[in-house]
Amino acid sequence: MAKRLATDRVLLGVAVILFGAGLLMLWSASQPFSESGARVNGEAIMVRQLFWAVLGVAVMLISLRFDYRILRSRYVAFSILGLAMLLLVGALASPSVNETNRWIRLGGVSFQPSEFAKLAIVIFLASEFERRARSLQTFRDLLAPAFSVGVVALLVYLEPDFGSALHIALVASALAFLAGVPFKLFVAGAAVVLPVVALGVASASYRLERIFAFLDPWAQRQGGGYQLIQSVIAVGSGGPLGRGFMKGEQKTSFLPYPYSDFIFGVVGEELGFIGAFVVVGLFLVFLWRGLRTAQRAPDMFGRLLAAGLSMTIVSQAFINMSVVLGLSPTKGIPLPFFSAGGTSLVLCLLSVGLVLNVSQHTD
Amino acid sequence: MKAGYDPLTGQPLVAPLARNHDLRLYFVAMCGTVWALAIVAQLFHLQVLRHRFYLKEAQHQSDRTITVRARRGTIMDRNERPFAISVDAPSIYADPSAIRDPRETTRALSRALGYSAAEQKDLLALLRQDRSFVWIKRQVDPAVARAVRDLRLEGIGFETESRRYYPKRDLLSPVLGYVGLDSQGMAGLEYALDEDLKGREARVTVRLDAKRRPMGEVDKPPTEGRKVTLTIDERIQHVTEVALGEAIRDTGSISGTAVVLDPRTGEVLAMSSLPSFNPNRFAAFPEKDRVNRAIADSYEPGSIFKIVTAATALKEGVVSPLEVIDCGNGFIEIAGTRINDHAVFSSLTFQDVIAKSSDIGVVRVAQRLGTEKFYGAMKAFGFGAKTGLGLPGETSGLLRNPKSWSALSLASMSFGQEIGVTAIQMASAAAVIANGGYWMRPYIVKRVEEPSGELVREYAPVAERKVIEPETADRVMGLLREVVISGTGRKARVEGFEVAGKTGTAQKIDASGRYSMIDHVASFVGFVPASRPALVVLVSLDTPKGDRNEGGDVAAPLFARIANEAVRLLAIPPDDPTRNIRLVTYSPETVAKTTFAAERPREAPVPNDDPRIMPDLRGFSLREAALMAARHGLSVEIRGSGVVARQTPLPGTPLEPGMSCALELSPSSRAATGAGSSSRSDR
Repeated sequence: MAKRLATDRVLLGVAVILFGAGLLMLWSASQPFSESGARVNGEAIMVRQLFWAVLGVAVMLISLRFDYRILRSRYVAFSILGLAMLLLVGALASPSVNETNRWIRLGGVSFQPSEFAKLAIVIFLASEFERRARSLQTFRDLLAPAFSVGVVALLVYLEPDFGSALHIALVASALAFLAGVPFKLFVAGAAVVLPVVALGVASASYRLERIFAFLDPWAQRQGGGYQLIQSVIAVGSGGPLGRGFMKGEQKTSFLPYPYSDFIFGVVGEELGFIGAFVVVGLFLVFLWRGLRTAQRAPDMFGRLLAAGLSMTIVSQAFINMSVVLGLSPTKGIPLPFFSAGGTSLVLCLLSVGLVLNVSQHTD
Repeated sequence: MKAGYDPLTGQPLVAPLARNHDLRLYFVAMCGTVWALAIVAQLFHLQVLRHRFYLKEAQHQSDRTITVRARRGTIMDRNERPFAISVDAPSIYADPSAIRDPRETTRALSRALGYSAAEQKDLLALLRQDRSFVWIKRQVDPAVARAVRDLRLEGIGFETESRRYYPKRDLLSPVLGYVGLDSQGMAGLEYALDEDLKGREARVTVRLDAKRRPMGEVDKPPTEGRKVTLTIDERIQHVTEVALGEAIRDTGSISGTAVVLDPRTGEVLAMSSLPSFNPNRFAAFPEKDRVNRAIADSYEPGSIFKIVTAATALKEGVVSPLEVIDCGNGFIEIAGTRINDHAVFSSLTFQDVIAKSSDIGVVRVAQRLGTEKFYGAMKAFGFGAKTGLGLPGETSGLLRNPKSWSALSLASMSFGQEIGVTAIQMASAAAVIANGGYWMRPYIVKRVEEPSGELVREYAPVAERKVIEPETADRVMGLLREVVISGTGRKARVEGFEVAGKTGTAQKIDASGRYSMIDHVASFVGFVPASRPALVVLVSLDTPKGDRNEGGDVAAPLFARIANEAVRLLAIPPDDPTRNIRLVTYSPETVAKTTFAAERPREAPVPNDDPRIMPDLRGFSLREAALMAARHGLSVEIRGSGVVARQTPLPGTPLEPGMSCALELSPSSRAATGAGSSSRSDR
């Protein structure tokens, strides 16, 4: 019988450390933009992030207070998925910012539906796969959930946010794998999905350029390879011990978006190999504790929920780091806990809360 | 494995968590670990193994040697009046890689820069380029730059560039030339003296940020191009261009040139080629008007070339001024070709041959000289070779070797056909007569100095060769005086001065290759004052229209106008002894004891508006006098009251900076020096 246990203190501790470190690094990374003349205001970024942090902590505490199992019901799961789709459509209908439709603006607050979509997909799939746990043997069985994921991913792709769409697909596949979908279906699925992904890459010239820039960044030092080279230089110049907190130099100008997508470059430069290693390690511990929670969960829903949410956060972190370190082509994916962005932070803390919630239950 | 029901929902717990499923969790954990290891490995690679390389890269890209372009040196006239200066102008550039929203940036920029839709499209394309530096607009008005700066656009930067500015606009433009956007000399003196003017580019190592902006203050070494001082007198240039411009307009000429030389030194005081252009926006003018016709256009001089023939004939002693020459009743036949004179003369003294410009008379004299002597003389007078006055694009004209002359050539050349000359060649040749026989190399650059004032080069007069004896020059001068007194050049007279000169009406070759009966180049070259020439003025008008359009009708008055103003500007004493003024500087002590009333010229020849010359202040009230003195940069010492009776220095004295003047006032001086009234009327 399921017992109510104390929350996983290691998981909580890791999350708190990442959360605190993320805020500190953002403070450092946004520092150069506090000076006049920049259109991006570092102080405003920091103030906004702190506001969202407070909200996020509140949301996390609330999410610890109820039984996660209320989310398993079909109605709740479908409602959340529907809400996610609605918000995505809303974003597409909103006036574009920088030629993209990734945000919904309400007053001074902007909300990023794709972040919510990731959470919604995990909850929905956990619920769906639990109900179908015994019959996930053929494509037919997977058709309905696959279709739902496909619609969400397509909407995200249309924003356009190819990186997040891929991320959603990755998490969904991992969840299907954990739910027991046979290997052969993955092999067959890959044969169908990979050409579609390749087509998605080739359909936008900037994505192709990013691939080329990734393959040989130094060939276009001032062009497509610029961001990659700058982030690699930032990390490399940090050395084993780093330049010291707040003492990074690349963030002042050369490193693009040091406060958002490339904040790991600031981590690498200021905290060095030691610091970056610790951050990677913390995320790995987070994954480990998340999967441990999943393993101990009293039911399939809790299992998939805990695993899915921790995988979402950690895989997003690893994708981001891979981009910054030049292991993967550039995509606009933020580093959880670190990058500026309210939606990401709040939903990240909510996810942590849910995983911790699951950890309170075991069989 | 336990089956059961959830106490909350009552739904069956999905129980048997297969061992298979745990394996799958381990598999996911393993994938995550491998991924983390890959990241750590890459971190180790970048931060430990390759740390030094990336550290160097980081320093290398922020420490950069930038080139600080020097400010282009100024070009001044002989009295330090600026012809070409450099002013700071902001330029706007963009770093497209730092612009997140090119469309929005384009919109904002276009509003500030007032761009049209088409320009906007170009700008958007520019901002979408895969580059990190593009110029948006260079050398804009400061107000425009401020407007753009206020937009605070990301990826938009500013650099102060120096921009060439020609405050006098068209004045002297074909001589000055112009510069391109990068301040590189592209024509005229700007091109010829580019090395001096452009200055050294300084290379400075600075820390740059990603937008190529120096971080913090950069110590830019003061680099400025050298200052070039010309022999040109801006005032004379001005009156020359105004007069030439009006003459071209009045006569409907295609173009015109004018050259004013100091025959004693070869200094070019004015050189004009019209129509010209405004070098501030040279691109808006046709190429042909940017050419300096005075050096680049070679034309048949016509009768003014008779000066050379006459001088050579007198030098060789084959004729004397009063010798009677058979003018063949208006024509002569040479080698079966008939040459017609412009008028029918039966016989004239040689003096009248020149005064009345008889072609046949000149041909007869030239025939006495023979080919070799005449050819040698023409070369000695500087024809067929560049004068080397230091301007690019000079042509050497056309002087064929006698070997290729026809039987007609000597005759044709004697009155200025079959030979191509430039205005500067002709003026320099005429200067030989004016200065007593020397061919002075004309020059237009007086000196080149470092911005610190240190002298780099100074050009002194060069007497290249002696062409004729002073006595010969005097006799030619006598002939040329007669041209103005009684001959074709009567309209060249300048009041108060004796003028010598020669008219020319050179037929142009028309489309059929024959000498045109209608189109011609009307020219005049003259000297003033004839007794001791201080100026040689050559004017020519290409294809003047109208009833009376020969050299004597259109070019001689133009000469007179230029010469008249030039002698006044230079305060050249008139030949008329009643107009003499003395240019002597007295010490104040001596002056105080001297009475000037008796020495006063009847009419003040001293211009009161020339800041380089002491004005005539006598007859003015204290207030007026003090004001004028102040305008000339003088400090004033005053004694007495009333109107100015005496002054030190004397009117017309060249002024040095920092000089002071002493004024003695008396109540009655207005009556005593009645001449003062003429000064006042000058105001």
